[in-house]
Amino acid sequence: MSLSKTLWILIIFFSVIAAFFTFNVLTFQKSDKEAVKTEAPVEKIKTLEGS
Amino acid sequence: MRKISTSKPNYWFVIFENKFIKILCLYISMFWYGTSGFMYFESPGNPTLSWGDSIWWTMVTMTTVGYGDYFPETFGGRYLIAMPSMTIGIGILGFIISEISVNLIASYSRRARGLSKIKFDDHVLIINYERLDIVQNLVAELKSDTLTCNKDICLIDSYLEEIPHALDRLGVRYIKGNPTDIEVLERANINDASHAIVLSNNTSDIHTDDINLSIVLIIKHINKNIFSIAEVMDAQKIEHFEIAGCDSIICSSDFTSNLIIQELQDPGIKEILYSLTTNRVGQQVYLVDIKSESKTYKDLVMWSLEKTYTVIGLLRGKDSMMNVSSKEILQSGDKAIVIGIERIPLIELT
Repeated sequence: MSLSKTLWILIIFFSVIAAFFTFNVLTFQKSDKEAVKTEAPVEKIKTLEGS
Repeated sequence: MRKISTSKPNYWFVIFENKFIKILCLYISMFWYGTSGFMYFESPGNPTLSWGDSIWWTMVTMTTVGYGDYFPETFGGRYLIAMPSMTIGIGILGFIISEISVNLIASYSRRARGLSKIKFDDHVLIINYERLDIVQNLVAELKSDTLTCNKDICLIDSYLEEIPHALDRLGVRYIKGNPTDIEVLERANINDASHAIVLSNNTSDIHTDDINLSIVLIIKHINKNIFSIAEVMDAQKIEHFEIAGCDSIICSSDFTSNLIIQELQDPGIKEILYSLTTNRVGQQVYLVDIKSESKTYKDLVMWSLEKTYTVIGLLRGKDSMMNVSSKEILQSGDKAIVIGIERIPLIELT
């Protein structure tokens, strides 16, 4: 296999994985953080009620 | 019947095969991989981590700087992201540095070997190189006079392998090739040149004048406004050069033999003439335009007595007049033959 093809395969390989990481971080991890932020006060109220 | 393809070149193919574009794409994809991967693996454990921090970490890692202000703590962050970023980052950096060095060396080499093209304007062309001291002397003389000191100089020769270091240091550019070849003269930007000095390449070759004659013909054909000076070995060829349109012709063999005899008859003449003809020592002979209305040669001499110049004659057309009568009326177009320490543009007689 020529060096040129190897380079293009590497470029596509890293780009595809990078796209997957970016998509994952921007959708799932972002929503997880927001969920934690909104849920936190509710949890606090629950614990206060329990006491 | 053979069909000639008129299709346009495949630009996509050109772009995909370009080495720099490939390396740039790999660098960008690797950078993106490092940034997004670092965020993917490290942000769950470090909620304060931002995209800016991740881009910073990737840059620091790929350039092998490694500040250590951010570092991966997870298995994926270390072995799947950091290690490829470090390894490929070094490779790309090394490649870029080596390519820059190779291009710089190649560019200098092409320039030294006279294969590049020059973009000078209003420059002086020195055509043919026989000996270093001859060209060095010409360059030194050109640089010593206010008229030509700011002009760029370009040397054209067929045989010289590489420009000598002494000339390169003086800022002389070199074009390798046959001076009768239009492509070579165009590489020397002859259309914008102001002067051309055609030297005898091989003084022992009887055909050297014939070759120079063809050079003058081609130069004047391409650029009619260029001022050409040719060195001629055989005095009988002077007329041929005049027909070719050469502006000034120097027969060095005649000049030398005359000087030898003058020196034999009046020892010391050589020093005087040397001093008058070099820009580097003593005073020089200048031809200066005169602005006057019905003035005589005596008025011109009277002007010179007030200044630090000595008028020795007049140049009328192509005739030089020495020991001119004091009552001689100055004509328009006359030039004063003046000896002085520096060039003056005009003599105004009021």
